[in-house]
Amino acid sequence: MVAILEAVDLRKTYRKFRADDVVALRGLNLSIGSPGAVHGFLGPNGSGKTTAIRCLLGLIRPTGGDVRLFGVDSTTALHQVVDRVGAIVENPKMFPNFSGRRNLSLLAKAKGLPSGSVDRVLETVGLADRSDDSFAGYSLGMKQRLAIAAALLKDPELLILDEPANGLDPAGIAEIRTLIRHLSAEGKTVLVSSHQLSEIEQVCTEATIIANGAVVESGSLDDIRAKHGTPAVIVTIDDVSAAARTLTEAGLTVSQRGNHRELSVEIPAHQAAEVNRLLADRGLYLSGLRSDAVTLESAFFTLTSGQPAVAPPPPPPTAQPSPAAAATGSPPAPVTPPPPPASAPAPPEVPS
Amino acid sequence: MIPLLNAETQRYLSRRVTLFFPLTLALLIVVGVTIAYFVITAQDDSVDFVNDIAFGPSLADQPGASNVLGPLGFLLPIMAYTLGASFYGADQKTGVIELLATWEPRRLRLLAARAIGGSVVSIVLGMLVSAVSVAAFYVLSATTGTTDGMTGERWWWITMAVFRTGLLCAAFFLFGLALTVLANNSVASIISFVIYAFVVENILQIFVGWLAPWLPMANAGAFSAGVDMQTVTLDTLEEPTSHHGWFVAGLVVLAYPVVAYIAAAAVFDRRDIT
Repeated sequence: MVAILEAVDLRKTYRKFRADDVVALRGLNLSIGSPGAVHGFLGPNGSGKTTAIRCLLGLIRPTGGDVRLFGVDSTTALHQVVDRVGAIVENPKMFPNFSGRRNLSLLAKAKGLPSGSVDRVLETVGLADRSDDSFAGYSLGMKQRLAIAAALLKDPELLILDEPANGLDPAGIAEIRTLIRHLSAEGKTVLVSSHQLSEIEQVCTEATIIANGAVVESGSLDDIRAKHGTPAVIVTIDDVSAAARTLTEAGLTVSQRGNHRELSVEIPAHQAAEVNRLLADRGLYLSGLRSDAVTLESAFFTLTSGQPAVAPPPPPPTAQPSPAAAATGSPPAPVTPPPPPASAPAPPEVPS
Repeated sequence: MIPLLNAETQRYLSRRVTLFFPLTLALLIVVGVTIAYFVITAQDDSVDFVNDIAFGPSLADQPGASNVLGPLGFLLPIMAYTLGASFYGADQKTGVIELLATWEPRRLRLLAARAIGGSVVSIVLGMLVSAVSVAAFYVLSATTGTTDGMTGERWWWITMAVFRTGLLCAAFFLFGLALTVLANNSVASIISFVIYAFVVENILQIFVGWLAPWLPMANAGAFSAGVDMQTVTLDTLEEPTSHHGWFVAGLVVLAYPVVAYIAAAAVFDRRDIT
C-alpha cells in the first residue's frame, strides 16, 4: 500500500554566507500509512518540524533523502497531488488588505473551485459573519481560523497543520480539536505539529517525536507512553515518611510529589490494591489512591531531554529533592526513607 | 493555467496600490490642466503656446513632436516598475507567495501568471492614464484656443502613442517584478530603480558615450514619444545625434525586463521559500 505521506532519510542543510551552515534535518524518517489517521508531529523549538513540513510541501529543497506524498516525489511532481493536500505552515499568511472572503475566493479561483466552497469553509471555521472584514483587522485566532479554512478549501485528503491552535483561546482550541476529530472521522488524514502536547494527546492516535532534526520516537501514543514512561499510582497519606519507608522496603520505587501528603509509587494501576494492603498492614491508612497515567508530555521530555515549562511546587520539608531539581522542574527525586526498624517483617513480594 | 492567470490578474487588480497610483497620476494631470486653464485665460498671449503643445495646426506636420504624453513617458514607467516590485515584494513579505506555492508548486507557472496578468493590467492602466492626459489637453485646447490641427492622421498617431505608453508600462511592470524577485526585497528594488532613473542614467548618458543609446529610460522616452533615440555626449552637447528609431528603442526597452525575468524565473524556481 502506498503511504499517504513518507519521508525517508530526509536531510536539509541551510548554507549560510559568512556563517556556519545550519543542519536542520539529519536523516528524518516519517510515514503515515492509514487514511483517517491523526498523526502528531512533535519536537522542541528548532528541532526541524517546520523545515520538514516545508520539505513535504515543496517549499524548500531537501539536501538529501526522499519525500513522497501519495507515492509521488514531492520535490519533482508535487503538482500531481497538490490538490489532495491542504496545509498551514507556521503563521497564517494572507494578504492583509483583502477581506477574509477575498483571500479565500482568490485561492479558490486559482484552482477553479466553485464559489460555494468558500462559504462552506467559512461556515466550518465559524468566520462567516466576519468574512467581509479585512484580514489585517482579524485577531490572531481569527487569522488562524481563516488559514484553516484555506487549508480545507480544496477538500483535501491530507491536511498538514503546523501549530493550528496557535493564538486560539481555549474555546477555539477545543473547536480545532473537534474539527480535527471530525476530519479524521471523514477519512481525512491529518499531520498536526504542535507544542501543546495535551492537545496532541487528545486528538492524535499516533505521533512522531523529533529532536535535532532526527526522529527519536515514532508509533502509536500508547506505545510511546508505555515505552518511555513508568506507570504509577499516587498515594495520599498523612504520614508520608512512614509510607515511603514501608513501600521501599517492599521493593517499590517511591518518589515525593509536589503535594507534601502525596507519594508516587511506580506500580501498574491495576495493582494499586497491593499498595493499599502493604500500608494497611502497617497501620497506615490512605486518604486517597489514584492512577498517575503516563502522559505524552513526560515521554516527550524524556525523549528530547527538555524541561517542563512550569516548575512544580516547592518540595515539602519531609521530602528532600535537590534544590536544583526543584528549580528546574526535573522529575521528583526518590525519597530516601529512614532505615527500617530491626524488628520489621520481611517485605512481601510485589509483582513488578 | 487559465484559472491561475485569472486569479493572479484579479489579485493584482484587487490591490489598492494598483489603482491608487494611476488614479493619483490622472488626478494630478486634471488638476494641472485646470490650473493651466485659469492661467491661460488670464494671459491672452499664451493661446498659441497651448495650441502648439497640444492639438493646434502647427503640429500637423510634426507627428512626433507632441508633448502631450512627454512627461508620462518618464513617470508611467516608474509607476509601473513600482507596481511590479510591490506585487511580488508585498506578497513575499506577508507570506502570500509561500501560501500560493503550496497551491501551485510549479513556480514558473505561478510567476508567469503574475507576470502576464500584471502586464496586461499595466497596459490598460498606462493607456487609461495616457488617455486622460490626451483628453485633458484636448479640452484645454478646445476651450482656450483651437483643435484645428487634429486631423484623422493626427488622431491615429496619438492613439498609437497611447498604446505604446501602455506597452511601456507592461515592460517596466515586468522589470520591477523580475528585479524584486531577484533582490527578494521590494524597497531596495524600488529605491535603486528611482535613483537609477533620476541620477545614474543621466550620468551614464553624458559620460559613457557608447552606452548612451542603449539605456532603458532614454529609450523608453523615445519609444513613447515615437521619435528617434538621440544621444548627447560631452562632445556633442550642443547637437544631439540620432542613433536609432522608436521601434528599435522599444525593443531595447523590452530586452531589459525579458533578460531580468529569465534570471528571476531561474532563481525563483530553485529558491527555498522560508
